[in-house]
Amino acid sequence: MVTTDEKGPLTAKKKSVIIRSCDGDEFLVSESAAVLSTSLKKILEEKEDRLIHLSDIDNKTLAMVIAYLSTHADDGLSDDLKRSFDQEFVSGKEFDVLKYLVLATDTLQVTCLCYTVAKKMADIMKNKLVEWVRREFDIQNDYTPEAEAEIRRLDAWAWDDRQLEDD
Amino acid sequence: MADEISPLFSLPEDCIANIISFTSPKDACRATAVSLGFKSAAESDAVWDRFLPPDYKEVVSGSNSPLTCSTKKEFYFSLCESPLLIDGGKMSFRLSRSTGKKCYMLCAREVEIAWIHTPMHWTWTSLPESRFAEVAELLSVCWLEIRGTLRSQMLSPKTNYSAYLVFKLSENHYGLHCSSKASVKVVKESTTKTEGDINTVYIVPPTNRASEVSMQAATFAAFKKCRRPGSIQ
Repeated sequence: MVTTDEKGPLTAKKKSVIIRSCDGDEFLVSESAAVLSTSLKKILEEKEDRLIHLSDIDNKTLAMVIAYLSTHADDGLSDDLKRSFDQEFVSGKEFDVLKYLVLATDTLQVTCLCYTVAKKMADIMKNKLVEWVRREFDIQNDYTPEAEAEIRRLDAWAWDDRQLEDD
Repeated sequence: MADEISPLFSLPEDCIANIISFTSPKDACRATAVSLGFKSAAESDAVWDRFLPPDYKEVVSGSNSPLTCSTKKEFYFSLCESPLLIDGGKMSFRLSRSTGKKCYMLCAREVEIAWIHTPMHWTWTSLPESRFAEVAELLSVCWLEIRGTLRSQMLSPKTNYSAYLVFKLSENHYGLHCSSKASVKVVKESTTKTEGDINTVYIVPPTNRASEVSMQAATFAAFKKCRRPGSIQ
């Protein structure tokens, strides 16, 4: 995985950076891939250090984001191939995995991937019961029973005419 | 899942809003019941801006009664519940509540009506229940033909549309119970060739004729999948 980058300032064309996850795993990434993340780009512009420590992204999630960045930084791939990669990328992933991904892409400001993941989550979330949403998003219901009943009464049209799912 | 040591406790509100904005107006309304934080995200302008048609500003700018809404959600529902007169009162515009798709209604002055200029056949009047200043009143014709044309670019893309004729029957109407032909066609400007199925509709259904007299208004529909180029007739 480690390539012959980092040969010094004279061959600085294909630089790479090391990104460390919150659980200590390190990933070697080409700079062209890293800068597709607006946050990483900013960090790289501000400091000389080629090691970036991300304190709130775990190794599994980071590996996925890096796979995405590397694919999109590959000039040899057509836009069509990148688009089908994106669809493949989110298909079949557990909702929980997508949750970590959407947060990581939001933190790293990888707008395209953030949208793709959010859209996938939205597709799963559609027509689901409120109880399902609370469970899958780890949300504590902070309404009183009366307040929740009132909310449901206000938007009654949104509840009346379809079968909502719980799985 | 709960035992897993994870850096994630909850998603920030803008993240949740981003996800909800890819669902639907219905899902967003139901999401308000999840928790207070979800409510705040589900009612944010970021969400409702995406449910509004991309060109809504342009469409609404043709109205002489500007809407004053403090939030995009309020604005969305105002466009669903109170149709807006646009284009100098020639047509009205509203949104379909569950989808946010654009709906238009043409006033009678904007549709082609056979024999409309002959006072013994048709006359112009006004009705308090009509959103338009004028309505056409049918007196008597031997040939009833009504044709409305709309630029299909005005419609929401990838949407199945229905066309309705909205009318009110007078107390002493007669002769309207026979079948009529209705169709929705895509008309291309460069050619006279049209396409579209012809449906049979009834302005007054053949059964229960007696009870129809009390009806305030009725609609009939012809269905046609909307395609982008050309006009819808």
